[in-house]
Amino acid sequence: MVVWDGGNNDFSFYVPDLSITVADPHRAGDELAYYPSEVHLRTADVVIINKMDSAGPEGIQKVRDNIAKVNPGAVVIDAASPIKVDNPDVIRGKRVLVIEDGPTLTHGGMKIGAGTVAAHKFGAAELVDPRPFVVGKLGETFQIYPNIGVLLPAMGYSGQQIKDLEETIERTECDGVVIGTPIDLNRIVKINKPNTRVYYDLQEIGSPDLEEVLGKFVKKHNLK
Amino acid sequence: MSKRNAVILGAAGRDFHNFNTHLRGNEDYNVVAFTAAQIPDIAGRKYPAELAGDLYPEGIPIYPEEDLSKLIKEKDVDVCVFSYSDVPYSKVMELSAIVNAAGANFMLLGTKDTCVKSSKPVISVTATRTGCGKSQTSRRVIEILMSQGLKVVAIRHPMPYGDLVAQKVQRYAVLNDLTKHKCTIEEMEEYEPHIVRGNVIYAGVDYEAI
Repeated sequence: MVVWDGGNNDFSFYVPDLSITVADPHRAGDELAYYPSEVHLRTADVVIINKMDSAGPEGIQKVRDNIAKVNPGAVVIDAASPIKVDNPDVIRGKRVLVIEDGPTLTHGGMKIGAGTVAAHKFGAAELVDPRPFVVGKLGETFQIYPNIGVLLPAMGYSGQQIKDLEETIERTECDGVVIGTPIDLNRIVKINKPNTRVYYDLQEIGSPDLEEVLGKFVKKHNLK
Repeated sequence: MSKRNAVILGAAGRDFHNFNTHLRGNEDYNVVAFTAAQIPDIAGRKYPAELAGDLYPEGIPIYPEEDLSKLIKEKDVDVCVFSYSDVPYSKVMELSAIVNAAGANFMLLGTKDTCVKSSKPVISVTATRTGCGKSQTSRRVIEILMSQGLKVVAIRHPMPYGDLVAQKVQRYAVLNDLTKHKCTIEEMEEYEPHIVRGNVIYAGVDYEAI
């Protein structure tokens, strides 16, 4: 079997036998306002409303209404992506630098990511603003995307950007670093400060869930 | 009928795929350029002859998007194929207006012309914006399917920011493959969580070849 792991909000490059679309109630309304979100929202067999643990009820309802409006036959799964960290002591009561997945903050337009949620959940005293310490090409990123705010995007499209990221982390005056990007950043850059990774997995809430949906799919296609 | 001159508006994602699936061997069109934005340092490069096919022995140049109006006029462009994703509707129409004002048609390709048919069953995981939670959803889907004894591979949306010929078909099964393929952080963010769970993930430039 093949699972198409999409990018951005683009539609699949392969003809899907089952189409699952993930929606974000933090950005409710974008599903009908960004290209090509609506294309696969309209054609989805299953729509997952994620982040229900951190989004407000108005956003969740708006996404539900929009799904019902353009694709009333879709199976809707409620879900959350609860987080955990390696070492909460790096965060609790500390002034931390939060590093997030780059594309989510830049063209994704998010003002928070998994690292931010972890910093708040585990009681950071302060999110340290990296902008006074930013060097090189990272400065250009903050100019192009001024809404990034006090978070540091893990930009690493080139060797130079990775060096700039490492130096910016080194220069930032903080007690610890929260790594919200889903890779082992210590493998790529040297971080001389206490740091902790953030992990998150999808958890469906109630029924229907993915086991149910995939069970039917496997049976229908005689895959076992 | 003479060929229609085309420009593909994209950022090293859907653009190359739209070209490969609908335009590469299409005698009705002559693709004169790609234009790039969103990803740094893409403009100024070339979609290489090795990937562009027999109709493009010199490859196809990639220009910065700000040159679009000038390109349409200079190269007598008939049609611009919009190939970005994660763009607000207002921006899509703004680009459409720039294209139409310069005299060219504005085109959005659909699934029929761009979706490859796989010989294996495909489950697609897509999202309404970047950062919705596709990765953890894909991992969950794969975990459930594998627990049922199925052999599953992931194929990831492209992020070819380096040597495009070398990146035509990429297979990631162990962490060393990230080094072998000279991955950017953005690529690692997508591949590494699959690898550490024991999945194989493919990506690249040519999704028919994959």
